[in-house]
Amino acid sequence: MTVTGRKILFALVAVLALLVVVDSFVTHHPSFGIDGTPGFAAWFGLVSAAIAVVVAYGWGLLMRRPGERADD
Amino acid sequence: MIATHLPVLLILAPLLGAVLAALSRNGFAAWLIALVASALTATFSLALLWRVQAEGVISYRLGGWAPELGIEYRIDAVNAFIVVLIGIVAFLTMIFARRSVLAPERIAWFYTMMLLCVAGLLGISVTGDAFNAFVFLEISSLSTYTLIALGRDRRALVAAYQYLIVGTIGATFYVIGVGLLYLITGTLNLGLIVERLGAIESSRALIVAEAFIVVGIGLKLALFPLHAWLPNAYAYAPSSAAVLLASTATKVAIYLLARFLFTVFGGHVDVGQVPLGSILIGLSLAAMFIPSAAAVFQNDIKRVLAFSSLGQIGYITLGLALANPTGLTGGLLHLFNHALMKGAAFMAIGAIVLRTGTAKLDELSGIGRTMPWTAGALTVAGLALIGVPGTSGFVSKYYLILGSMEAGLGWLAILIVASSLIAVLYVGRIVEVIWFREPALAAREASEAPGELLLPMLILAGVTIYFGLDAEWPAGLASAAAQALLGVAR
Amino acid sequence: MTETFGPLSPALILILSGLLLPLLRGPLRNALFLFAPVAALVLVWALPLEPGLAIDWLGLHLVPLASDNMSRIFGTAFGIAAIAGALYGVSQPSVTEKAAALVYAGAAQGIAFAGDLVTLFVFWEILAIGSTLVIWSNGNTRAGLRYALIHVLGGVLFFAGISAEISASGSVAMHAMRADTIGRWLMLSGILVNAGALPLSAWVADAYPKASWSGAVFLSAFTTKAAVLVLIRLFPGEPALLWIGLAMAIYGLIYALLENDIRKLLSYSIVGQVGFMVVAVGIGSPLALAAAALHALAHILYKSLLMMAAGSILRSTGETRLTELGGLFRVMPFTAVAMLVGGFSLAAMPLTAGFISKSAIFAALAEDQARFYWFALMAISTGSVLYIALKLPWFALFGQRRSDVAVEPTGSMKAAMGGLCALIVALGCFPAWLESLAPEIVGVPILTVDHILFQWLMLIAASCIFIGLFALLRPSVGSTLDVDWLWRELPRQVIPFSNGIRDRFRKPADRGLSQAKQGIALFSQAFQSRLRMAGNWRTGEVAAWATALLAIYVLIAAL
Repeated sequence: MTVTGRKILFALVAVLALLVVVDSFVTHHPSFGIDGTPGFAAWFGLVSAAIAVVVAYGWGLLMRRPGERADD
Repeated sequence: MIATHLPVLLILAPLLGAVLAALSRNGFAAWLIALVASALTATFSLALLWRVQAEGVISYRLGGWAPELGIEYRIDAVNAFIVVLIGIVAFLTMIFARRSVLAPERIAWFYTMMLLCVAGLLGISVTGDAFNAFVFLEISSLSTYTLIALGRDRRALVAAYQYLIVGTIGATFYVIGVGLLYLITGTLNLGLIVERLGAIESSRALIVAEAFIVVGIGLKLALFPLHAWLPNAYAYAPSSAAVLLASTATKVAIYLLARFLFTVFGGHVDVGQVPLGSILIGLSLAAMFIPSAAAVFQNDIKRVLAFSSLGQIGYITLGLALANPTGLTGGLLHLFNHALMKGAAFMAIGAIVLRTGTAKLDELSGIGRTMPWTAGALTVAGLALIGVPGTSGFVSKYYLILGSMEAGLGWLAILIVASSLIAVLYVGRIVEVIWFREPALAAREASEAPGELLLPMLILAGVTIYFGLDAEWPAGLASAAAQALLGVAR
Repeated sequence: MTETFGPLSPALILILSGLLLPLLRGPLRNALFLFAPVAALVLVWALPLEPGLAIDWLGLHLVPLASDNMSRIFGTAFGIAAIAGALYGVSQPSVTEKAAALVYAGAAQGIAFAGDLVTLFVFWEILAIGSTLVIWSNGNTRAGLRYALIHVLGGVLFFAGISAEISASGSVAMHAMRADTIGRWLMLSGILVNAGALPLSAWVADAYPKASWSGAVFLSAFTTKAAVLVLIRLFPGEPALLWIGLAMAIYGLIYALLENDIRKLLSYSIVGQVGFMVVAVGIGSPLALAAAALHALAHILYKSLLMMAAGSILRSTGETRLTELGGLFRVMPFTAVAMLVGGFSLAAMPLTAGFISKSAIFAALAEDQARFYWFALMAISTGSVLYIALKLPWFALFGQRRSDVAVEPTGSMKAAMGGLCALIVALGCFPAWLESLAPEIVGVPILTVDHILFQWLMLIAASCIFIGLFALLRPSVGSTLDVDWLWRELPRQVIPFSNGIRDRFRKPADRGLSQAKQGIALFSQAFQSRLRMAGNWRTGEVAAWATALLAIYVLIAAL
């Protein structure tokens, strides 16, 4: 990871942490209970985005073929 | 007085017209005679239909001789339907045929042959005598051979010769079958044959007779795989002859087939055991798919239309094979509608050939820009060939689909739709080229077709749309005809 | 009231204009091309909300024009898409594409306003023909043929289902049903083919990128969303739709994350977003159906905008591959903003139309206590931020420039993109507009503090992952295997394979084989020329056939 990348990541994590703090001060209207806990969206977002990337990467390892297709 | 002699007047008008046209030796005079004769024929045919609807079956004894000795013309809902179709199409074709591209000394003969052909076709339709039908079949066939041979292309001669051979085989088969029938029953009158068949115990000879007659007529109506004579004959015949042949000739043969299948053989119990129905379904399906697929690969629009005719004949014979009221109505209605739409299509391509000298698809790019009405009529006819809703082609296919459902053959309904998709391909190709391509040389130099060509063409195209929206009149006729055919069978 | 409009439907205006278009020239043609969609949209709103004139035709009770709230939502969406698409593509020189696009848009309107199954099917087929022509007009015949064949298959399935339904119930009326008979399953699968559902979803990403820069805008708007509308009308609450839609959403996410070509990425994303709508239809409550309709509307807006941006990049640089693009923000700022607005709307950024419609979908899932689907779709929604709001702009708009910009977007293109941007933001800022369109969503909390915060946390969390796992997300040149391998690649693989087998057995039977090969070659030559020269039979062949037929016939009779 480049230096700029690391800086951006640091800034983003900071903003995320700040918003999680803010999140614990607002009233929630949960539909299923857990989704009303403070910071739920943050960790759920991190986990699901990570899963999406890893699954897509894995699928790409299996199914991605180099080179363009004949009539694309 | 005239009313009682309508059936024979119907034949006499074109027959005498042919004689006069031959004697006139002058192109214009011959055309005028042909026009008047066909106008009379059309009038008589409509009057005849009206009388049949009012009074029921008409039996007319030629010269007052009773059947067995004499010849009977017998007109019911079925023939009246066919006769009206021939009368109207023949009249419109004669208007269209004014612009002929033949050498001047041949023009009078051309109209003579057209009238003779019409007389022959009408004769087959009205006669109630199996041998008389053969005579008329020969009249129409001989004139057709001449008409095809009059085409400008040198290949017309070969096509005419091929049709001559094949047609003769067909006629021979037919006459052999009729001869067998005569041996069994001792009569040539269809009504009497039906009466006496009931008493026949051995059905062997009868089955052989049916085989000969069905295959003989099958050759004439271009039933798959007996179709090979048709594409070249239509493609190389003069344009107006192609219109007449495509709209009427095969249709009359189909009528004759229906007459024998339902009225004559349908009356006999044993013959029902021959799986003619399933054979005919198989052949019809083959016709719906194989020649249609061949149509996609043709470059000459006339040949595209000819191959599509073969496919459409498949739908009509499918209606016959279904042999239930709805399916048979669909078949007969498609016979009627197809005559109108194919007439319009062949007229349109005739007009294009007149103006550009070619029917080759790749030379006709953008012809819609300079001949919009003609190209429009061709497009309407094409849409009807596909069976697009709002055109007559949809209505008849709809009845066919209903008929197959009624017969418990749901897969057949799917195949009917699937085969229409092939029509989308060949019609789509034509439409794309004539409308959406940049005009080629031929198209830029062409101008819209003259009025006497446009008028009948647009009438037929308009009727194709009209009968797609309000199908009551033709569907009523077809349904009456179907009931008449099936009613005898029961 | 309806009688005053008679048969004048938005569909008719567009289709007739499309057919008329090739006959016109220059400015007149462009004027009609721009005017017809506007007239259609006006008519969508002028039509009263009631079934129109019924026509009894061939014993069928047809209602070609029936307006209700649902048709108004979809009619509006299709209308705006047609107007924006026409404005965007007015400088496109291909007449075929313009004419086909109008017919295509008209067919979509026809589906929106169809009051019976027969009318629906007719427009369904016109839709297929129009879209095929749009693809075809850009010249890739093989792809167009593949597209046509898939839709022929869908059409046949749909038709078979409709005929079974009509013959079973005797009525052509459209009503909600469950897929409980074979006929209804056929109908459902026919609709799902058009919606881009698995396993045939590959057609979307195969066909749409083959269209021209302007054609793809039309394509992205109509076919799949019209299928969603038909699902809303015929199969609301069908349980099978839940997992079908979820599968579509997962497929769209994974394939879009892997894709390198912008327009293919957007096509995969269409499948994914339609998956959200299909799940909502599967829930089937009034709120869910309204949410599906609104999401279709929002999706038509932002996906048209994204396709416009992609088309604009293609037109200017001749390139749509992310690996070949970059740094376009500085040279094509207008297009870049359009791409960002569209992308953020898809990512459900607050104050965009996509935020409202996605909130409505999740509210509907929550109301129905569909816990599994709520969490699954929420995760997928977060994932889609990665490709549309992060990967796409990052590689196309920022970083180092790799391709030259040859032509500027025209004024009309900018106007179309600007208009859609404004509309998307305005709809997002004033939820009342969408609420008035679909009153069912009035109770849904949209612009509340916790809800907005929730969405922001999601977006930033996704951004963290994007930076953190950047190495895994770098686009690569290539293609991802899909089901279309079966009909695109398999034939090519099988032939060399069978050749290989032949080589192995060649020596022992070399002679016989080469003879057979000659024979086959001769035969295939003969077959090909036969098809072309079909009908040029020898007379003897005809006679032989006649005899054979006679013989078969007599033989059968004798047995």
